[in-house]
Amino acid sequence: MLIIDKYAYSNRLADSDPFLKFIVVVIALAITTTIRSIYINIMIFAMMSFMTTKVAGIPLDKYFRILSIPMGFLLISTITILVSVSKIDIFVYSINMFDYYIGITISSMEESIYIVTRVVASMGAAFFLGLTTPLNNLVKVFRKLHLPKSIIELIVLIYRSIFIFLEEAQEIHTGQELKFGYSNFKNSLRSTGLLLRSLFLRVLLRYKEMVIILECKLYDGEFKTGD
Amino acid sequence: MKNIKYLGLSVFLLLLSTPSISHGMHIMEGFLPAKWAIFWAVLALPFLILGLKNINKLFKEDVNAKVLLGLAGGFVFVLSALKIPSVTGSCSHPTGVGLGAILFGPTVMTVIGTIVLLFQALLLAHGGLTTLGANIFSMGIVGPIISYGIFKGLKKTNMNRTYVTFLAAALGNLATYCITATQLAIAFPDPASGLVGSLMKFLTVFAVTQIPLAIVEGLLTAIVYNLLIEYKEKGVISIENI
Repeated sequence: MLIIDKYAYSNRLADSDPFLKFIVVVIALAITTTIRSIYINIMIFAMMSFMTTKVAGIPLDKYFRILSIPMGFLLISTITILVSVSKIDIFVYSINMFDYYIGITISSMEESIYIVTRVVASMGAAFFLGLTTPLNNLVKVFRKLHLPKSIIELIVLIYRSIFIFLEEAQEIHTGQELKFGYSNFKNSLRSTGLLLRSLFLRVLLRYKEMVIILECKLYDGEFKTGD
Repeated sequence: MKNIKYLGLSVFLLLLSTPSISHGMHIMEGFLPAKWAIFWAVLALPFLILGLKNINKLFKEDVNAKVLLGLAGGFVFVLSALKIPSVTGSCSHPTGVGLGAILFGPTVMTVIGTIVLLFQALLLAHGGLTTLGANIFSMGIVGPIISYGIFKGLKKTNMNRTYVTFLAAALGNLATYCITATQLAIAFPDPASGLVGSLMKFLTVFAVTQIPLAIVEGLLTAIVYNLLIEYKEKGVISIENI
């Protein structure tokens, strides 16, 4: 079970108009990525997190936990942008190493602060959509946007199979762990390989079964996605 | 050595509740300014349309291909949600597109990769909606093309199949990481040393996690490939491409 998916179905805004939510999020994302203002970004984040936690009723601690998932990437990338290396000392703070200076410039500092607020604001907006809109409602939005039919069908099929295989992978993993399958690096590599193989075989077995089931249901090559 | 067993695959809820360091494979939500987000999306679009065309052709030939691709997409998602054993100690995940590209071809993988990336952004808080175009370009287009090209090219030579698969998956993964670093460098050139300096910085920083990860992905893909070949020889499964 994926926690974001769970809240997508159980929050208070789950049944509200998905298209309206989608438009709000798209506008918010457009503002954060185009307008260079720290204050607007902070405002958008405050608004989005208020809507997600207070209006939709996602517990605050869970919300911040989910927000913290991609923070590792943000930290590493921002530090990478922040720090530069040069032969001449153009930095505000710097350390001298051999012939080079490693340090921070004013422009990179401004850029970094700006990136962090932009990322946090965009994440607030995107998670508002992810946490409050179940997939069946998102599909309605995709249909309204006239996405190609085969893509929508694939989205629905992939969404369904994700949960089948997640569960199977978890069960296989538990079994392997009990048999010391992950006791050292070599074992864990082999166990993961075996797991992937079994999982792939399940894919093929499911495929065979589903073809038979669909034939029984007079499948003619088209899945109805709400039309 | 004791904690290595925790580095294997881990409970997915843990993946969701603990912040992990090595999410270097995808550019996160909102990281790129609109200019670059749109640039990469536009660049990815023709490949996506080509993939869609091929998929529609596939669906016309065989109505059941839809089901197979749906299941394969779920498989790739689960693969990318798995934590695999990693040398550096941080938890990392494979792109899974190397195996997919070998089995289904690169253009089909572009479409599946796109949908998987969308789900990763929505369900795993991994990658993002605004950076979808950039991530599709690195993971859904360049990675599969490199993997598939190497696999097809080296398959004809009499090189050991295990090495071929290893190289295809590992280099495909490395290509994805190089493209991601390039995308970041173009968007954020270094104030002191410019674009090249910025590229060097990103390549070095992500190399720590991505190079071991590419090797592990190569090893895993080779293991899975060999196991599948074994099954194929015994007649359990039938896949044309391998």
